[in-house]
Amino acid sequence: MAVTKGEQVIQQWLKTKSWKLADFQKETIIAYMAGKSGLLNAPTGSGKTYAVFLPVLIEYINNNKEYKIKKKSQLQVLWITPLRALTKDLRRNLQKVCDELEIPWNIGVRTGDVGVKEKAQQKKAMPEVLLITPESLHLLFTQKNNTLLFNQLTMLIADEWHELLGTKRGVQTELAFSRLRHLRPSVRTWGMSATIGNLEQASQVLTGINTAKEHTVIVRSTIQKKIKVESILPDKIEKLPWAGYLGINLLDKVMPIVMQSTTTLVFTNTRSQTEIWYRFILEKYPEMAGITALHHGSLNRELRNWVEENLHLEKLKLVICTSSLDLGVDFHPVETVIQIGSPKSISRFIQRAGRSGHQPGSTSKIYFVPTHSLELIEGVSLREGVKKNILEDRIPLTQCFDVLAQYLVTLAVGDGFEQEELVHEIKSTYAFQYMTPEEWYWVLGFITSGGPSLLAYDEFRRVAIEGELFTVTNRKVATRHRLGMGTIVSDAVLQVKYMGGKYLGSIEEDFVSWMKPGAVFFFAGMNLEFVRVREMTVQVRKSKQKNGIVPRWMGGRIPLSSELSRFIRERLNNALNSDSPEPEMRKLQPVLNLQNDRSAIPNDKELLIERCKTKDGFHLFIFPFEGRLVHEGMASLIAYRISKIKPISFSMAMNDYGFELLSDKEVNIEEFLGQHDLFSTTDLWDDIQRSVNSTEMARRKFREIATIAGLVFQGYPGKSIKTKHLQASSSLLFDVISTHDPKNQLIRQAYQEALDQQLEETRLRSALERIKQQRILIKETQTPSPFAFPILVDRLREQLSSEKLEDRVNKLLKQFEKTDADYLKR
Amino acid sequence: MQITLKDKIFTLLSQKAIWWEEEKTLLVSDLHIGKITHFRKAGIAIPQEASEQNFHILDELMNGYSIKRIIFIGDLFHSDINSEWDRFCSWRNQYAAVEMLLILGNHDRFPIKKYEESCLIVHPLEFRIGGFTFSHHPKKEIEENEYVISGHIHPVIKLNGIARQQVKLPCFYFGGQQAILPSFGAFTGGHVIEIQEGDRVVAVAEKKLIRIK
Repeated sequence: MAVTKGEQVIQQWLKTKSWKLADFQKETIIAYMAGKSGLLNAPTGSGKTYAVFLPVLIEYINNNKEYKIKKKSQLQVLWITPLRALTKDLRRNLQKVCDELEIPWNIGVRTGDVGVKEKAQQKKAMPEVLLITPESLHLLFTQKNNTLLFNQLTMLIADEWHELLGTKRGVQTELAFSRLRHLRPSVRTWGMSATIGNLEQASQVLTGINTAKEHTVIVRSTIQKKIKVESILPDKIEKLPWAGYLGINLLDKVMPIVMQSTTTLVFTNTRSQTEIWYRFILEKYPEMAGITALHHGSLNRELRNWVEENLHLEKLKLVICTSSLDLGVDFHPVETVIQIGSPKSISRFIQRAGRSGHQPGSTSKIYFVPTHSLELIEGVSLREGVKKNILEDRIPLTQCFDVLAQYLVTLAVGDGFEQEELVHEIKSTYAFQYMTPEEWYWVLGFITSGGPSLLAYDEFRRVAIEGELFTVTNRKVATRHRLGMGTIVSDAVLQVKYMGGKYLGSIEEDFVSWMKPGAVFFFAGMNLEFVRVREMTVQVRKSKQKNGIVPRWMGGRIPLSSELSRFIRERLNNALNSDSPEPEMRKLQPVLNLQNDRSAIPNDKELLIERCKTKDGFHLFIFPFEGRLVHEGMASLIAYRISKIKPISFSMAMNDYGFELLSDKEVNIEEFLGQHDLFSTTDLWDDIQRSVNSTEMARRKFREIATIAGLVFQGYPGKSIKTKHLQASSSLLFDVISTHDPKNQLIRQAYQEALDQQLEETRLRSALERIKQQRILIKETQTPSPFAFPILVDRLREQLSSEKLEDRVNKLLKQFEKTDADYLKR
Repeated sequence: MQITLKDKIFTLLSQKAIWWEEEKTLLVSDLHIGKITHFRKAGIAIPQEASEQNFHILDELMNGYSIKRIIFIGDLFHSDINSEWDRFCSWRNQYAAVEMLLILGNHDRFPIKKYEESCLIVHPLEFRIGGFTFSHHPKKEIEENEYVISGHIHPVIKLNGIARQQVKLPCFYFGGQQAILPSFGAFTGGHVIEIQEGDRVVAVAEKKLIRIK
């Protein structure tokens, strides 16, 4: 086959740089040139950017004889990235390629960080390549005549696709791509993904269900990084494991490792933990000042940029971070990675390990620091998982009517849409392929009449129908929609600023509400004195005081993946073995012995149940070792099944190892299990549904759904415009809508999300099937066992009751009389 | 359930209102009529049917007691004028013989004439009768011998018990010189209150009233 002009030019250019294309790059280029779409699976730093960008350039050169002459700007490539932070380096790299090839292309960025001026310039002349977040792409759809922007589009790219897959931002991306493929049928779609368990599915979600299989391809790079895992073992081990330690007791063992490496990244699981580690390090190792930094999502962008910049320049020895540094550009100087606390999934752990050791052929080294003694078991399991290269799936979301409703309004604000035409686009996405006509008309009704029908019958005003066109004519509606767009729902945040106005970052309203002027808190690595709150801004000044409280940011607790749970269950077999080859297990012996003395250590043929009475009431601890999600579902299922037999109220808590049912009445579990099969899979679906109905799970899910669908208006960010008269809590909305519109799709979605995500019915079912094969081991304990203790002290609780409200209140009142005012104040 | 304030007997109703039989007067606070339509006008799809609930319950009360007068203790209407105001006016006309008073709340921002056109007697700040003062906002400075009946707070009581049990319920609050009514409106939230020694609280548990203290 003759070599095309474009290939010649690229070959020449590669030669001048003494670069050779890797196999996966060649494969991608060939597939693209053949008109295919696909998914590229290659590690960060392996050159996947070039793999997808070079073929676009080759084609451009082939199609334009005078390719060096600047033509009227036309958007050619839309490059979706999950993080704004990734765009800076990417833009620099892509621009450099174009400049060196003398292709007069402009690489533009469009994210929430881009200023008005640049946006205006883009309006005049669209860059050829636009780096954009899913949210900003949807914002483009709200512009008038936006469809004209995409006339010459040849390529859609989704960077770090595994990060978007399985989130509502992923659904947003699917919808946007379906639109663009419709406007420009010749466009090709490519995604780049780290290794996950379900690459095939990831590719299908990316390219949509109408793209024929023979037109898509998955390209895998053969580059495999070697990873070495080591746990840092405490000298002394606390016998009652508790999650509150944050691993800080191991600081003196962590620091020698830091000292030995050029640069170290320390990953923690929460932003507060980052702040705390930073503070302890500077206190105990003052020589680290100036070469240590912290990085998390609530810090000012400038500060984060500074940290990233100095990581590149090898000016920092240590950076403490959260998942904020999980993704994207490589920091070559990073030699060592330390993970504090369980990463909860093997994939995440591998990804973080991959942030170190960039020299070809070098080994990535990752240390695991347990935050409580039981996590030592996870250390062993992680090592085994890495060795066996076990990877978790990312399950794509489906039927997200909240995202769909938002998207339809978005299109209506822009150029408008005709529903008969649009429904085909929507149904070409993985997420909405099974949407029924009833569901479709419901969503259309929701945005046009605020009810189930398309006929407007009152003053409801959002999307109007003019002839066939669904459109937004009201400017207020359009403005409010633009401001409320997105799928990430956050708690109300306040900006933290110095008195002089310098912006430091943001903290949650909840935390602020119990701080008094003069209080000192630790944020962005500094002690700050709280001065006052003014219009959504916390004004602070530097404080000399040594001790300050650390803000807490909400945010879900990540559950243990099923793969990792399985490893842990297997670890418990033969756990009592002081000659174990694994150092972690040897270290853990005192805890395991205590567990064995007070209760038992179940092997994988046994299910351990402990019961125990304390001043709090009657506790049942059940340990399936299946991860938090399954436990949450199982706790409400078992609580529901018991409550069906006798009127009772439970408060439930759970962690990754087991769950607790706490009641003021004794449950004779032996007798119950003798007469009723509490772990049965018969009627599982109905029982789960009813247990979800009797807990708060769906209500909590509804908060996000209501916000995305535009029922909760979060207000104008950074502006003090009064929006209070339009705010209602999602809980109140849930009540009112459930009562008066029981068929509401968004309420249904809340239940469905609770079932799918919170309960993971399939996982729950297979856990129950497993339990069926197990012998149930019931132990009465005098004091809580090491396994039970961390659950016992957990304050985050769910309630379930089959007692009449009136009876419950009267019961509480009786207790109240006995113990006086304490209960009302608590 | 009956409660005695300054030697007068008041009947608390599970519909979150108070019946003052001696004066043939019904006390209601924080209806927030119009809120649902206000949200709908802004494109927020709350089911329209929900707006009827307030009127159903008001009708139920009108039929159940020989009411001669209603005192609305503020926040009768949520927002700028919308079609729910007409609904309210036609409801009001059904009971032309009943005197209706409105103490203005922070949400009641129509010109006073507008209320008067609908046969409401408006008291911008407070209204006094028989030693009682009706005020939308709870009062900070209370005179000797004065007893204030107010709203605005939407009080909710939180009960905790052993085994980490917790229940939250809307409530009537009675302090030494001041009472606060629960919010009547179907589409209103609540605010957890703290109580002091000597306060009395009655919680609304669905259709039952329960004396907490």
